[in-house]
Amino acid sequence: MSRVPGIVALGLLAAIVGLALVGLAIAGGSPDIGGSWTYIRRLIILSLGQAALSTILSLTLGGALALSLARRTQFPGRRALIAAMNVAAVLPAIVAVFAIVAVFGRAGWFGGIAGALGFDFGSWLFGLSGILIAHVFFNAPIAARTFLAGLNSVTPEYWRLAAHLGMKPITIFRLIDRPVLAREAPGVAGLIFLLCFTSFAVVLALGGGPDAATLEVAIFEALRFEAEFRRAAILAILQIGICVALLVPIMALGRRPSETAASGIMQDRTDRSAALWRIADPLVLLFGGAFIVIPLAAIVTKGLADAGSLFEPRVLQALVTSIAIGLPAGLIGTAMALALASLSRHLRVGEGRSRSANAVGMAAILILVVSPMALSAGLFVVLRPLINPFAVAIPLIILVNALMALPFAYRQVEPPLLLSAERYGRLADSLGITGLARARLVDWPLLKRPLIVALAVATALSFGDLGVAAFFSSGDLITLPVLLHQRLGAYRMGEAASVSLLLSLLVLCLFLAAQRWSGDWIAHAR
Amino acid sequence: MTMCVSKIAVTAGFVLAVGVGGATSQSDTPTLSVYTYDSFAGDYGPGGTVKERFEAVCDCVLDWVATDDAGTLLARLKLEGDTTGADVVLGLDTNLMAEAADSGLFAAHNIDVSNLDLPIDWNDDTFVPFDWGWFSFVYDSSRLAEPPKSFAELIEAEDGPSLIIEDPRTASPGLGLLLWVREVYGERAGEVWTKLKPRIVTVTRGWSEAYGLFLEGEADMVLSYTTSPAYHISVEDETRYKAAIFEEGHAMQVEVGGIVASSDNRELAQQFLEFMVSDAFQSAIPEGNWMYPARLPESGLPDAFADLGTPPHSFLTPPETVKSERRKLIDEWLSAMSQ
Amino acid sequence: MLTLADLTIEFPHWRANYRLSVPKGALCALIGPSGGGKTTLLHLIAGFVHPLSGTLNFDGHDLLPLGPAKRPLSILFQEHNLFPHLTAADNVGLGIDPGLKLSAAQRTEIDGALARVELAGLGKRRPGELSGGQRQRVALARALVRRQPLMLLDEPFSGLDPGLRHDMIALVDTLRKENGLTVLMAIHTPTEASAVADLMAFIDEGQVLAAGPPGQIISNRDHPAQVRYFRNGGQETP
Repeated sequence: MSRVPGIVALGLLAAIVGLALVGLAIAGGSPDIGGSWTYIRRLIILSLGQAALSTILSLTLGGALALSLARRTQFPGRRALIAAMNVAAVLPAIVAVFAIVAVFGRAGWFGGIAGALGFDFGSWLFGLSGILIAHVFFNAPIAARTFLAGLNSVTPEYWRLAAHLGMKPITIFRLIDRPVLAREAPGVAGLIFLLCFTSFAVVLALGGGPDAATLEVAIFEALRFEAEFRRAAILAILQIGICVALLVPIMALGRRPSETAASGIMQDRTDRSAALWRIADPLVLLFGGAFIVIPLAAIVTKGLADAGSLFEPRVLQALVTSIAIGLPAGLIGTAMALALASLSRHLRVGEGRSRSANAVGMAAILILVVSPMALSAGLFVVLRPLINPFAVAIPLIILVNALMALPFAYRQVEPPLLLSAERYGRLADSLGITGLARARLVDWPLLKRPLIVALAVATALSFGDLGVAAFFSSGDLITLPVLLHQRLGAYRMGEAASVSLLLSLLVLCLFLAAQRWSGDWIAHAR
Repeated sequence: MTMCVSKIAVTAGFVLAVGVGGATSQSDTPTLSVYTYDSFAGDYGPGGTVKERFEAVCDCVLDWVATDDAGTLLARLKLEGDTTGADVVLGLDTNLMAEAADSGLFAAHNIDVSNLDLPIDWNDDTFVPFDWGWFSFVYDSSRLAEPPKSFAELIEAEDGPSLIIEDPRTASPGLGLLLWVREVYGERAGEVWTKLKPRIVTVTRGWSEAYGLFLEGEADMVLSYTTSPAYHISVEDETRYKAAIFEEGHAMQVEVGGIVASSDNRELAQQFLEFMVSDAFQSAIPEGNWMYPARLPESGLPDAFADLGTPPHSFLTPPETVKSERRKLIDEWLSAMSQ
Repeated sequence: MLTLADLTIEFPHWRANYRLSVPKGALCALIGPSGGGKTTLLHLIAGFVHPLSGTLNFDGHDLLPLGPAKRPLSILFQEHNLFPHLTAADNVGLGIDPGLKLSAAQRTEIDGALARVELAGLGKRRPGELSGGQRQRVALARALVRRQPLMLLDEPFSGLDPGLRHDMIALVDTLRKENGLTVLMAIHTPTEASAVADLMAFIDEGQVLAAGPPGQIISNRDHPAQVRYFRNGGQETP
């Protein structure tokens, strides 16, 4: 397996990130920005607090849903609920914002009802409460999915023991369910925390003021709203530092891939008929499910109602731009992932240098540390003396989107490539199958599906991206998410609805295609 | 196969990117690119009328490029630097003027600004005013029967009206409010924000967002202009929207336009700036931008402007002062608001 | 007396029908190839699965209407008998009260059971700190405190070394005799079982194909399945 593409990809990665960091360092200059430090310190504390709160709420709802779903395996609408949860987990953030506003906003479904009852709900959507609702909306399903997988793969012997020893439902929860939740929680909590801390679209749209912001938004604002290069750079450097600090414990906690059910005869849970759960479970499923399903329904109904507004030139223009950016971003991201995975495999299996192989793996997820906004700010600063960055907005957005997709694409293609080498490597060597033939005969069969999944995920991520597109956009350059954000801002809810629906359908088609090819909904897709 | 796929994918990706990114169309008539804020250029602003009238006399195409509001406008220019495609910038105000001049991006205007109808004397060489007004909080009198009559009343009332304001970093009314508070309260500005914060429903990026939310009923009052009610009176025949007049006085805003030094169409830009203070442009302002025109049109002010409140005092912070204080004021505001 | 009469159960791809009688206080070894139906038989008796038809009687009582917790038996699985986050003593305690609300007297009883299986003093250890053999002995201790007359073992010693396995089988036999238990033990080493078993049942294809004294079953090759099984010396890879 040739190492060249991998080295090229690595070089590209290093160049982009390196340039951005250089840009940030130069623009950052001295850390002396006087009184702004009070605000920045507060901002960081607020961001961390918001992320923590979002994580706790998401885990709670996700855990409750997972437990109830594990106990109730047959009720009408179960599959629809699980499908809805999967959809919520992969929806672009700005679409989720629209859905939440459409339901909970003053002019929304619940807002209207509450208003009629004399409650004034509309205003509380802005600020921390709105942000929390949106974050829980798409992170609780992620938590639920992880927990449910764990709950469903409990050793059957434990269920038999529970039946055999006559364990009460509370004991079953204590001895069987709770350890599963405790085991899975740290990993998924770390992931959700990082996502909420670096949240952009939700905070930008629902922020409501400087007291509800994240560093990502602050970087964006410093550059786009105030042209404060130095401040943007300092914020970006802080962002990188904090993400590194966060990522270390997250990696240490590890994310175990959910294991499929243990071997042997599957055993039924014994606490289904418990009175406590028979009351609690339907309530949890009803309210938790409604929380997730109703906003999704709002996207569909309101989107269809205003479908006519889709045929405006601006929408079509945004659609074309989104595709023109999304497809290349997906291709490049996947190509780079493939190249890096090949290199990593070559190092690990071919040369036995597993530490170098791990380093390549780390490079692939670099974007989790050098956040999209920090990267964009750095690149902007570096390019500005040479060329107007807005003039090369499209290639820049494509590049950063590709890097954003890299970790997920890598996660898809690295395991099958490695597996192929471990299983068939020596066989292929002994038969003299090398080069192109090897790729075609040995790797491709194992790689085909994950590759398609990777491509779908990478492209969908780019379709749904608001931050980078908004960062580099000027008047003419709008993608669908940017258009949606503008419509939301102008409170043109009807037009926002149709764009939401369009964007959702695009992203969903991709994920459905990916699911068909991989047989599994994308875990941890965000 | 893998190698091939990688190579093809990367090439295809870049070809697509370059192809799409590089496409531009050209036409023969010169295009004047005017950067402005979106409520000016949007469907409900004077942009359409101005474009029509200017194109009738210039033998050119007027292209509006809009940003959220004045602050974003300036930032965008600074981000683009010399490579900007703007020929004229219309919509900054005196609060942003000094900073804009400092950026070195603007050229002298060489226009006679001696016979304008502003309440102040104008002697800036770089920028030309096109309209002015007073900031004020606008409310729905059918919702709020007893509006505050002074700033003090607004601030002290703990269960007072809820507010929507604009972000001082991005919107000129936002910055205007900061300066207004500074003029009235001086060093105690921090206290003011702390007291107001619980009643601020949201802080928006631009004026149109704020006003739109206000009309949707999201809050009792919105930071806007004394002339905003004129829109409702004139277009909707609606008199319930009023501007609250404070006895301490109001901050004034004078909006300006300027020529971009790096523009390829300097003559056309100059022509536009002259057009800007002519009757053809100014007559579109009262019922287009809903502000007082810099030069009274021949037909005078429309009826809807007749009963608008006027503040007992006016404040206009000198541009140089704004420039040196702006960062500090904004940081103070940010700190207070993020508590 | 434990009697299974025409106890039938159906799965998507196969069907089982069991007929077996085990005298009270006897140790019956269940042998046969893997996948042949030994585990299903034990699970039927334990109540984890329900038969389509047939009868299951122990000591004159019909067991079928009883839920797993109400049947007068204790069962040991091949592994995963213990909860990893509970101590050995607590794991044993589950046999007394599954909610683990134990009185001082009950705690003493637990210590006694642990001592009986030669694990005195190890009550505070977690399963992770115990060897495979020790873990299975904790499970045996739990069976002891339950004081049920019937004990089912599903190849619980197959993962242990031969010497240890021999000791464990001997321990089961001793406990059986001390407490008058009826024991059904699925095992894949018939020769080892024959040392302690009163009765041996050869199970394959979901049926008890032959049942009788151990020596007879091992040497007698009436059934072709039996022949196949014993051609390997009666051993199979666990």
